Amino acid sequence: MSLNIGILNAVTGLRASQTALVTISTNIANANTEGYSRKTIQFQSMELGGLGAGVSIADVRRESSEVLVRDSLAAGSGLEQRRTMEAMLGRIETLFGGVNDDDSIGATIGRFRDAMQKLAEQPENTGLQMATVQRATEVATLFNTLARHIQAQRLDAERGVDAGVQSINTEIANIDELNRKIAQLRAIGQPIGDLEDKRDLAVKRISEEVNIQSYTREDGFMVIATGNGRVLVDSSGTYPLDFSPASFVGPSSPFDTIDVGGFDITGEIRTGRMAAYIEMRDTVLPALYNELNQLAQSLRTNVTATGLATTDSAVDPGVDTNLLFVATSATDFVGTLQVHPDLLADPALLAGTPTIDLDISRDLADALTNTGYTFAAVANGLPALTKSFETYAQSILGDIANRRASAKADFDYQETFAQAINAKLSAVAEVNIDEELAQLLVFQKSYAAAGRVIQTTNEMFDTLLSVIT
Amino acid sequence: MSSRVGSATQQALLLARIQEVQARLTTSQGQLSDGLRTDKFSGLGVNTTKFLDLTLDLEKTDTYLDNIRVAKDRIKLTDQLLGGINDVTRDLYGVTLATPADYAGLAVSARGNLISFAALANEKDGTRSLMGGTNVSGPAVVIYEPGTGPVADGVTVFGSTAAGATNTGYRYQILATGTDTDTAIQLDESSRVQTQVNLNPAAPATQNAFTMALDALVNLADFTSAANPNPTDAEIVTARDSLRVALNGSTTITGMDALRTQASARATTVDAIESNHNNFKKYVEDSLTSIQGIDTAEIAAQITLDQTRLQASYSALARLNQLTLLDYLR
Repeated sequence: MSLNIGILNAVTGLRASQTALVTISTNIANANTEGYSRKTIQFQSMELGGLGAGVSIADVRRESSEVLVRDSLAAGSGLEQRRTMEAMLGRIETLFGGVNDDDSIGATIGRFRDAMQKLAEQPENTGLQMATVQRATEVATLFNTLARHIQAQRLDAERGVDAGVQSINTEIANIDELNRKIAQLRAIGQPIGDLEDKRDLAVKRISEEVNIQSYTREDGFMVIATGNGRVLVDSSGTYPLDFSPASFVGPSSPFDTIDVGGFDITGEIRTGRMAAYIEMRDTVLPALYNELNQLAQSLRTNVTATGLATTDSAVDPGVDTNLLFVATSATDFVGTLQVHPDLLADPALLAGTPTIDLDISRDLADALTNTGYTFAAVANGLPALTKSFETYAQSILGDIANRRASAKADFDYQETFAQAINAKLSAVAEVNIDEELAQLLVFQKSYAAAGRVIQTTNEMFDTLLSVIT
Repeated sequence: MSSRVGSATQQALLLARIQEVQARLTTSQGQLSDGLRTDKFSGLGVNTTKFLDLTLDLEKTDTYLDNIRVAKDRIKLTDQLLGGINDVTRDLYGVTLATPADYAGLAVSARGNLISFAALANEKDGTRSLMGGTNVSGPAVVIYEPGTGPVADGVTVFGSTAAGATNTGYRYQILATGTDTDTAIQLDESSRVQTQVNLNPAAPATQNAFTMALDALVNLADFTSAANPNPTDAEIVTARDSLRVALNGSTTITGMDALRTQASARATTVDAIESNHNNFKKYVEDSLTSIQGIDTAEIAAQITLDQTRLQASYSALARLNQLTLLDYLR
């Protein structure tokens, strides 16, 4: 074995150590970079003619776990769905009023019932007449406001779906580009770990919007498909989502479907933010609207008294003589409910005019305390119930509260679950500065040792030269 | 694997836990300051439906308690009214028992009593006529002085006069309509309590006491009118005796007593219902407090515990940030 070979071996050691130090410094620099995975150096020994010829870099490996990444994506997708659901239900609950709010739907109808019951005992009291009409107006206004807010929330959900579609389309274009770069670098044996990190980050962003499947082919291409297998990205290119958001949302507004390559995938979206938005837009909020609409329709139809002496107003499409409430739409009662214009003009009609008729206000009070109104089952909402207006309103409040509490519990569970999976993944993939510093010491020593080999070999050369000369 | 205390994720998890404890601490402090567990229905958990039902019960009870206040006022005023009418009739009855020294004076006294009687019968609670029945805001009785009128055609006038003719003597017209029950007040889910007395003779028979008294007073007062310029003593005595019979021999005075007894009984009933409502209200409020309110000691202990945890977490986080090999390598 020649001294030259010893020097050459030591030089490969120096080079390998330098590469390792570069890798470690990159790891440390990216310790707080989102989506960055730790890189480790894989060494391999070299031999020449059966003799050791030093060391070389076999691979710069990206530390990750495909199984944990997949679990983390699924958990993140579920977490975003529940987070969005919980936030939207929280807003709905706030709109409908809290425990101590005087403007909750139950409290508002209760105040109207209270005023009417008092008026029934003192119909001649003009102050009570005006107060009762005022309370009735508050009920109608609250219904109108809630109807508007529900549609506004549906419009928000529609915008959320649109934002999700835009984000997914941006990310699949990004992934397609990364796929091609990774394939090229892979073909020439260059490191691809950093690009894979970026691609994983893009996949994570898509999974936060919608449930997806993904796998990496042998050539490095990552294929992304929806939960039901509709391809979004593969080696043949991208298949963006097609969706046209509605600019206005009413009770019976149609919504565009979310299509991929001509297939409607709206019903296939199970998790992610978009799933929550779609569920709120198409299921939860319409159910809530239908419950309120039933209540408003029942108020319009049943709060009546013979002799209320209101004329058939022009605003209500039906005959509204003797009705306290009218609605300008035959379908959207909650959005168009109002106190009969005649009563607004003359609250004394509640007591009968010109002669007071005790039966009018009593009939109205009886209507408001009647517990026998039948409310049909609402799809995805309350079951069929026989209740008073007030108790049905309380049932709606209870339903919202239960949905919110359930969503909160789901969110808390999913958050803990996602944190646990992410912690496991981080144990594998994330940069630990302590470990990196320890590795730094190792390679520093290796570098020093290689240098020492060169120095020693140099001394041996000197010794040999001195013997010769 | 070496200790991963330096991991960014581990630190992030610790920070998340710290935020959770901070949020819980803020919630607990809020609960302690306002004494309430939550301000959201969803925060009540499984008790939401019960809480909503109890809230409704409380609101209804408050409505009935308001009605009870109205009922008590009306019963009290009606009782005072009956007392006044009773005083008038008893006073007049006393006069009829004595041999009149001044027969003309007796007629004048009857006229005065007639006016007082009508004034009392037309008393109101605010704008509510207490004896008018379903003639809610109108007078219960109208007295027509001699020479007034005519009374409109088709109107039943006690004291009889030809429709369209000018009244020659005193007349009265009962404008009270309906029955006692028409003006009863709803005091709970199922019961209405009568609070007024209706002057309408078509109301329960006890109310005939009023019309009998009015008939007798009108007859006697007529002797003060121009239609009877010189009544004989015998005519006045006959009318006086008729009045005496009407007041005592008939059911007038006993009827008045019965009405006052009824008023007292109704007041007692209303008191009992009010007591029931107040007891129920107390129960509902206690139940609501038990659902919505906090256990101060429990929350205070929780705050102390969370403060300790928070301090420990801050300390751990600070140490995590220090624990790197850099410290040893320097």
